[in-house]
Amino acid sequence: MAKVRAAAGAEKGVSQNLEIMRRFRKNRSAMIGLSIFLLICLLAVLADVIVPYSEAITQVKGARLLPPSAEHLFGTDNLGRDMFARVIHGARYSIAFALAVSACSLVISVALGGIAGYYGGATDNVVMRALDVIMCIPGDLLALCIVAAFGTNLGNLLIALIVGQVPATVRIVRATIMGVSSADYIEAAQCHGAGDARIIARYIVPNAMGPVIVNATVNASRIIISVSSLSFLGLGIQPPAPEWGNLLAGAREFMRICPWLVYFPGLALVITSLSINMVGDGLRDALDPKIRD
Amino acid sequence: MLPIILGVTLVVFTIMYFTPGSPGELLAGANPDQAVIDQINHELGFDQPFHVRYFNFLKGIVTKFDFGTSYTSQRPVLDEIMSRFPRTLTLAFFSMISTAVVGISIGILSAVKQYSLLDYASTVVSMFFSSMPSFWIGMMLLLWIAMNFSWFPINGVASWKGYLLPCAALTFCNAAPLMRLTRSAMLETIRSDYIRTARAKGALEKRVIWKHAFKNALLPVVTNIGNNFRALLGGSVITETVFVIPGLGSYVITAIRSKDVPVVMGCTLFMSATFLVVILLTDILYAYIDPRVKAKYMR
Repeated sequence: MAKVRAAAGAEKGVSQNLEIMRRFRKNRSAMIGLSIFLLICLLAVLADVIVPYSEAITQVKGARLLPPSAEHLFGTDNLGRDMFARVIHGARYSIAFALAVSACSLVISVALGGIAGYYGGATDNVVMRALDVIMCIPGDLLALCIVAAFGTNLGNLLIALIVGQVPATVRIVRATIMGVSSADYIEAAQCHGAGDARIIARYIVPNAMGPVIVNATVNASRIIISVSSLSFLGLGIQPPAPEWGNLLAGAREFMRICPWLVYFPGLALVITSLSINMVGDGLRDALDPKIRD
Repeated sequence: MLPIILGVTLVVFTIMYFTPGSPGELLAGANPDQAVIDQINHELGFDQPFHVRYFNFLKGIVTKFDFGTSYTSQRPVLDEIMSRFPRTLTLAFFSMISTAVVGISIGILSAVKQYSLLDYASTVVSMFFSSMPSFWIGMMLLLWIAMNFSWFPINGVASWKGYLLPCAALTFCNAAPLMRLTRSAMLETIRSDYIRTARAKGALEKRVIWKHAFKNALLPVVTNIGNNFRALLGGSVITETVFVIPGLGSYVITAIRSKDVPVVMGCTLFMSATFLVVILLTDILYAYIDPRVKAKYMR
């Protein structure tokens, strides 16, 4: 009996996922977004093949502030570094941070939100009040304080961004899980004698994953903007390492005479975060049963 | 509210506790004697353990409303904050108003005229703007508008004109998500049964939209505007740097760079408290908008 039910459930699960995939693929803007994002990922991975890293940091005295040309596609900056190489290599930081921070904050948030949402009561109270406190401090400011206190390096930047992401994500996870926990099939599982761990892993997490994943996608584009904002303020990724935010900060003085220095890194930022947002929107529509075709 | 403020002080204090360096090293001048450093640290209570320092910090705030003294300027942090805060608050407040006006009105328009050209255009444009970092929009506005039209000042807020561009930059990137939220909330409401009822009983379309649909769709929108205020305050750090506005945000950045711990703590506390007040106001506003909320508290 249980076996038959499990098989039926698995079959239904697969078909539901396939249905979501099909609807996502039908969404043109989501597919465009996904292809652009994958292309940017590819550029980031192959950055060394396209232009060696040395080009991005070598300062050429005779080639300062050159406008875009065949030799320097995006021109050069005030120290004679090739902007094309710097923008391409900058993609590595943005993509890596977006993926790492969303993944880490997703895991932490699902754990915390799952515990708070499933157990409720005092546990819920402790977790949520603690997060209320963090929610209350403006996110960018909190990240700045953390980076300033512990030192500007990649690890601390990662921690600072995760701390900024977790509270809001936990709220969403908790709300979703509370909705799922009160469903009848959870009660049925409990009657069957399933333990908490099994119920959480087998029933609650798969059913609550949809909104959480949509949220993580949208967050990824915000993280890219946060990383570049921190770098722009000089507290994120430090020059000479190229990151879109610090490229823009470096270009500020020269933007009147050399506007290309602010156009290209900025456009790279906008295109990347736009492509992720398009994917997120497509996922949301695909997962929303209300707008099913 | 009070426990949250207490929590914020604890979080901020703990983070700042780990900041390397001591006030003695900052204050003693060039090539100081270790004894002088220790003396200053002792006077400021910097050599005491964590809980004593935290308690003294709280005691200063509660009894004397004293947030400490800035290491760099030697003036009370509160005075420094008060001389800058009005600019940050003005910018955040006007940005919030213009964001709400632009976001809500375009959101309603594109929901009411779903699938029209206006709807498509505003959806696409808002998608672009919500993907743009505010500092880049700010730089573009400076580059295209301020540097071409001398009417706009390039930096500072000496006159009201100085607020226009920063306000516009913040409006662009905050109104876009708000517009999308308003649109989806309105669409959901318009599809509901009571709207069909209202139309069926012959109410004017204008009345249906404003009286029946808009009021019901407003709740998530108001929540979003309230939460946006947090982003506006935190974002002031970036906006004020781009537009060179001497407000709280740019002050924090300077303080963080010079390791001026009391200033960083004071400013962070101040911004968090301001945000809490805004959240409180939003909650009160709920009661006005939603009779269900009001009924809950009337009992």
